[in-house]
Amino acid sequence: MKAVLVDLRRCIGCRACQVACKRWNNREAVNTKMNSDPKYEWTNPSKFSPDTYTYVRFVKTGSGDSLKWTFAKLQCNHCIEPHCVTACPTTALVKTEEGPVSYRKELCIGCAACVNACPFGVPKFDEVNKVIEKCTFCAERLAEGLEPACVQACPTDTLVLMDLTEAQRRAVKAEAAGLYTYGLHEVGGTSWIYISEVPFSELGFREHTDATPTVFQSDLLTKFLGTGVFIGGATLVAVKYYAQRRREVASSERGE
Amino acid sequence: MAEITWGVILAVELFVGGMAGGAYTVSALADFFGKGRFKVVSKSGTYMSLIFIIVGLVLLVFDLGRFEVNPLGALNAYIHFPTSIMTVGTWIITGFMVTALATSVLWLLDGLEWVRKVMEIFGIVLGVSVSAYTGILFSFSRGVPVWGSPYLPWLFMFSGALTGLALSLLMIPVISWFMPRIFGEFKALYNNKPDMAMIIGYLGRYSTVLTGFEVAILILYLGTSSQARVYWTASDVNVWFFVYILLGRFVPIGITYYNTTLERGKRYDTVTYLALVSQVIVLFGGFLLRYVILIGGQLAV
Repeated sequence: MKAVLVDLRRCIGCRACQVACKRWNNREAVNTKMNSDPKYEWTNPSKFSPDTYTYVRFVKTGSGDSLKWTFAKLQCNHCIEPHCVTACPTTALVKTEEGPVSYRKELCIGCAACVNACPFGVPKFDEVNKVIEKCTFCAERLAEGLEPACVQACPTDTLVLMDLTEAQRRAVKAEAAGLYTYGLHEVGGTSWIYISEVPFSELGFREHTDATPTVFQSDLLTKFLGTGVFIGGATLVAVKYYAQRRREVASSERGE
Repeated sequence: MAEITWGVILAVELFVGGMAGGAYTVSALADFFGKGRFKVVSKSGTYMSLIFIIVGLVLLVFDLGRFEVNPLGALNAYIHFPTSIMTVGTWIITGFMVTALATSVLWLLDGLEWVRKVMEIFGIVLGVSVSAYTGILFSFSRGVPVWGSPYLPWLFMFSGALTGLALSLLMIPVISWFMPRIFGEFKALYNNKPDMAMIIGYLGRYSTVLTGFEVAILILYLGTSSQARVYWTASDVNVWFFVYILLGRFVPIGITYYNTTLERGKRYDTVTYLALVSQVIVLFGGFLLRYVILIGGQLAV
């Protein structure tokens, strides 16, 4: 299974990956705005859209002399066990053995279940065509032995295509060296793994446990059924008490 | 600015679907345990469950917006079983629709009682599942953390039962006005205000109990979700949240209580009219609950 190791220490924010993605996927260049949050104000485009499968987040940390820029490329993380695939009712989204969460648009019914299921907010709903859009890890390029367009365009080797096990090994090593990682543990692991010297919470990455969809959903269902047992038990006790009380009232009235 | 992927129309679909499941469930339970007193209510609820589940499905297909591109595309939703909760829901709704249709036909024929009761046993399971399903769909949506609660399906289930009961009662005069010849017993019951008031009195108590469960589960849900404050702080939903609680749930309880005093004074006409107004408020509250949870949840992302 293929993976991409994203070493944010190397990123210079050139946005070549953004451009390469647009070109390979024939995505329109659209008018965009700077991010409204001062911390991310130079991020442009500032979010995913049906025409933006990837973008580079420009993050200011610190202030004055200690002001520091960190550039974080964002795209679909291609989870090892993806929530979007679990949510999709039509198999339009499938996790392939090669690594990509590939998308078959012809099967999409536009229910947008994947949009709300994705822990990273990646799939975006195309209001015009009533389907979703997202990064596909350039699955068609991988199949031909090529790197994804963004990886090929990266001039600093921030993005490196490798086997998943190798990416995980390097991330574990980075953690041992005191660096921060993202995607090694989150939602059970992803095929895009990040390394950074800045905590990911400061880079605006969402915090997630290591629960896979199976664990997450089983846990919810167990608690849901447990709540049912409690409600059922409490109701039975209440009904029994009510019936007993009515009998007592009826017998005392008869006694009078 | 948070993006609203699932909009107001979906809130209507959730409301209508949950209400259909609830209407069938309470109708079937009334048929089982009502000793014949609630026959008209049971019929009303069963017919309405069929109508409203169809309305919900039609709305859903149009909301998907791909009807013109690929009219049969929505059928793709049947193929990813059992991994996708939406596929499970699609099959449940389909089974429910068939069961509601069969039960409605049996009620119209007014015979084969044992067949109807067997149908109703399946229908109760499916009706409860229809009401709970959307809550499970929401709670599985990890991208919207405030929905990730085991209490949400229960909230939708009790709300479905409450609104279903309200719909069943409310439709008695509506059906008797529009089709008095076909549904003569509806008209007879509605014109017999003492009987109508008695039924309202009985069902009002169950309605109050269901409201109690709904509010208790709501408190559990809000109390255990770290982001729940969005429902009373986000300007797009906070007013509706309080309208739902105060008007949608507490006013009907007040009306039910007031009706008991009117009933003792034998003011059956007023009891009936007030109860019908109360059912309309309950339905409005049921819709607001879905709206606030749906829109507020997405605003919290």
